[in-house]
Amino acid sequence: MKLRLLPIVPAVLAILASPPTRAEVIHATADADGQARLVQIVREGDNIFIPLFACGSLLAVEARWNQSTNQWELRGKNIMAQGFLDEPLVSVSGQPFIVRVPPRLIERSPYLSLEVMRLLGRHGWETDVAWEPSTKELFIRPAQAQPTALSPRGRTLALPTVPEGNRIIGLDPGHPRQAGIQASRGGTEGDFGLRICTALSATLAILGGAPVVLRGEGDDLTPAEVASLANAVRSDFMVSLHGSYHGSPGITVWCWGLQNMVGSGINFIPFEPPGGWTQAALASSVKSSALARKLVKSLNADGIPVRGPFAAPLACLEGVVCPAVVLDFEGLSTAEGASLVNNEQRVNDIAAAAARVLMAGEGGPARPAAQP
Amino acid sequence: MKKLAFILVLAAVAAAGWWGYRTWRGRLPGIHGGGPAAPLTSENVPCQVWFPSREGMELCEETSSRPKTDNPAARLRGVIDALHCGPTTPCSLPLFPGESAPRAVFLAADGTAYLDYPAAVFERSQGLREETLFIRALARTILRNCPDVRAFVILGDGSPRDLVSSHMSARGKFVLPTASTKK
Repeated sequence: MKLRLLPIVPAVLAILASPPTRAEVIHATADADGQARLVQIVREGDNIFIPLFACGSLLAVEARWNQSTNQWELRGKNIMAQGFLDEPLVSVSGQPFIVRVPPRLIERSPYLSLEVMRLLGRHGWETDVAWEPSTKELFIRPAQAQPTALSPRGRTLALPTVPEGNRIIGLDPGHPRQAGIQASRGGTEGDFGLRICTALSATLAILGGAPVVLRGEGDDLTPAEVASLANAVRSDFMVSLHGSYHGSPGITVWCWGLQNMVGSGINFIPFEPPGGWTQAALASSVKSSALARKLVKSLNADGIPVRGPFAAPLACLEGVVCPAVVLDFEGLSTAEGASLVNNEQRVNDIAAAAARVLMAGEGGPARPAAQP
Repeated sequence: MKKLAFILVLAAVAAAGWWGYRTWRGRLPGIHGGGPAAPLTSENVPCQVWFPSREGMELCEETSSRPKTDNPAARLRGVIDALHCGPTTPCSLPLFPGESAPRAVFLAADGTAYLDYPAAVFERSQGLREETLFIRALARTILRNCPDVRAFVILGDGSPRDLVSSHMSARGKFVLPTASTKK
């Protein structure tokens, strides 16, 4: 009798040994561009997984999976997304993303999570992906036209008026008037940026220059938009003004650079391909460095505490084709640092020292306007 | 009969092992970085971390601790966590004001570390100087403690950011100095 039961034991053991049955297979309908298709979706708790090859078919792109390396790919005409199974890193046209539910192997087939599918739709193929659990339907629709975090705002910018003069100087207050860091003695970064821009503008006009303040009091422009305006008015030089709460009171002069950030040996490699928007500042990098050095010398000669120049991948200088620098007012939490931006005499001294260099420097001819 | 019993016991042990493995795997967190994290022991080892100074462009060195592990991804996570515990001396500044622990730390096979922070931590800028020092403090700390890391990328809520906070570009990777260039 006991012997007769023996063959059943392995079957019972096999049932006991099977993995926890948390996965549920759902025969769902996928609606892509109005065409309904059947897709076998897997649900594990709150997570939905869609077969990789079905994802390719729904997005109308080629799907690949390398079984030996576990690398997956979705390849469209101009867009490629890729990653590895069980890894949270997803690359969409060279831009990295981290997901909470990585793609994975289910029953020997590669699956993408709904989170990955949504990400690919939003950042790659401009589609909205939605899952409706009650009707078991997956919707893939062209995205509603709305700006994403990746795209420029795409709005039309009002071009500032360029006054008469023999040299066009673009002046960027750095931030909208009430934005940026808060100085200890009142006022914001944007507030004092505009104040110094006004003083510098007046001094440049007296010396025969054509100063253009690129950002008005309430203009909430992105750095790329400010750069576009600087290029559009054909600036010979651009100066951007910023502030830091901490640090030693004084001005630090910065220019744009990808190599050896502040002498630390750190290099910056942009995601975008060579020749893109980030690289536009490379054309004038030598002249920008020369301008920065002369500014340090001039400010120093006038008794203003100054450091630099330092190079870093500063967003406000990216895309500016003329020589451009940043003046960063440090130590605004201290009385001495705040006096540099609040004391009228000191502001005028800084404006005079900077204007001398900007009018005498080798600005070079303005280049054709470039757009991001 | 004994042989059959032995086979059955062997099958039962194998099946139990497989079930245990699947259960353990199912409980792994979604993001762990560079393969399964090595089990951490309660033993900690000291590590050097750097913070922005209140004055000048210098970094302040402090000694902290991280869990002892040989897994590069787990070590990176431990070092980043140690850094985000904040400085202990008044001359140093924390990397970010307030709560700033990363959402995820992932080390890719090419040695690039992806540091994914909640986007809210970047909203309070302290200025260009602090952003520069933040990058340098991260770089020096990683360089000193994680020899497998070649570069790092700053992400916000899982996506690439245009800016580290409000001045410096974050749309790229920060490549650490090699032995010949590091200072």
